Amino acid sequence: MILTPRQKRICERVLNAFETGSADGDYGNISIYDDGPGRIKQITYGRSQTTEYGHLSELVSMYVAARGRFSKQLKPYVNKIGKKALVNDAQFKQLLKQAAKDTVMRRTQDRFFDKAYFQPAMNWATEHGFVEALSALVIYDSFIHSGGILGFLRRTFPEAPPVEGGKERKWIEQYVDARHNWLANHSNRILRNTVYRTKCFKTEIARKNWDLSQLPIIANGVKVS
Amino acid sequence: MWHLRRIDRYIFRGQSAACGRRGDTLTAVVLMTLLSLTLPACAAANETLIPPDWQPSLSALEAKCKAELEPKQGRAPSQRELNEISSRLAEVYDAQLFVIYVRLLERLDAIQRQELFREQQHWLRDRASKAADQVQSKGGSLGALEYSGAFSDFTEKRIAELLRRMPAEADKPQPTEH
Repeated sequence: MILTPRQKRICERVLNAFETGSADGDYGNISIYDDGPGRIKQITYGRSQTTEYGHLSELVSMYVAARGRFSKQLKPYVNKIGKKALVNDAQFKQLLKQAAKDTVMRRTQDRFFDKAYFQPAMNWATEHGFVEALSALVIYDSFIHSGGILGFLRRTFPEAPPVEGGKERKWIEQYVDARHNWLANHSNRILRNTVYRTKCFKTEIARKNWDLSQLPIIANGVKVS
Repeated sequence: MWHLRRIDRYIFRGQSAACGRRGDTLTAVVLMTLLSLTLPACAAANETLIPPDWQPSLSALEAKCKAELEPKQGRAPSQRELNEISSRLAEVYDAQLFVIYVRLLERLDAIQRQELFREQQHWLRDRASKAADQVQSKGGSLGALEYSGAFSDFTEKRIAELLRRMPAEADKPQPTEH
């Protein structure tokens, strides 16, 4: 699947709005959740929501190698991340926040985000025969939100993906409906709030914005253009 | 905690009596450590632990978290905000459970306390693994919300269960005269 730079930027900005409430994304955000190994608390950082026991070491390592403004101070942490708990290390968290103001860190996070989510999503789309930009947005959203296209959702609707002879637009429409129903009726009531994502896609499908040329797109109240 | 208070009293008495004798103090500390491990199982469980008019409430905090879920200026909370609110709510429910658990312990005798302690330990381990099993969006931003939501759900059910088992105030073991 090939997107124009403009289409790709729209996809990223819509997803940033869903995830952070800002189309520009939040590069310096630090959250602490107890979702580390054995449910211990861990740092979640940046636009890419990279976790301490996940890929944070890789991200910081990429930044150190790119010689950013805070690379020298962050270098000693590269080998500690994921091995020694840093959730209470105020200096480390402060450095991450400061580094987020550095354009080198922002570019590093963008590259990392591409590698971790965008490329796998586009590979999946290509393997399944999708070509339209709105399809890319829907698929990319599932990779960021759910880590991929959930198998149990695919089994709830009949349309085959294009690679198996199905119609692309019909598959996307049915998939968005299935995802919407799952989120809207989830036993976890808080999770139901996330239907703004599928509502946005339904709006774009309804106005046939398959090439993402009709702007702005309203992503959870944020105008994306 | 009730047995630790007794131990504190014993330590301080022992330390003052053995002033200047380090060996005696050490013996007392070792003895107290052993007692702290064994007392819960064998001591009488009829001391009042909590002042009766001390009724901490987390309901205002819970309501505040829930209010944050409402859309503001035409915008629902972002995924990051939802994850944070849900995580905070999970902690509030866990604290509520802790309060109920301690209140129930207070109303039980020593053997029942030990049973409840073991049961709760097992339940806590179970909660963590069951909540993790509920996560379908592995590797996605929704995963943290799925986990904390399931965690809260299990905790609320446990609160209801412990409340059902709470004996009436009149059934509480009466304090012993010392």
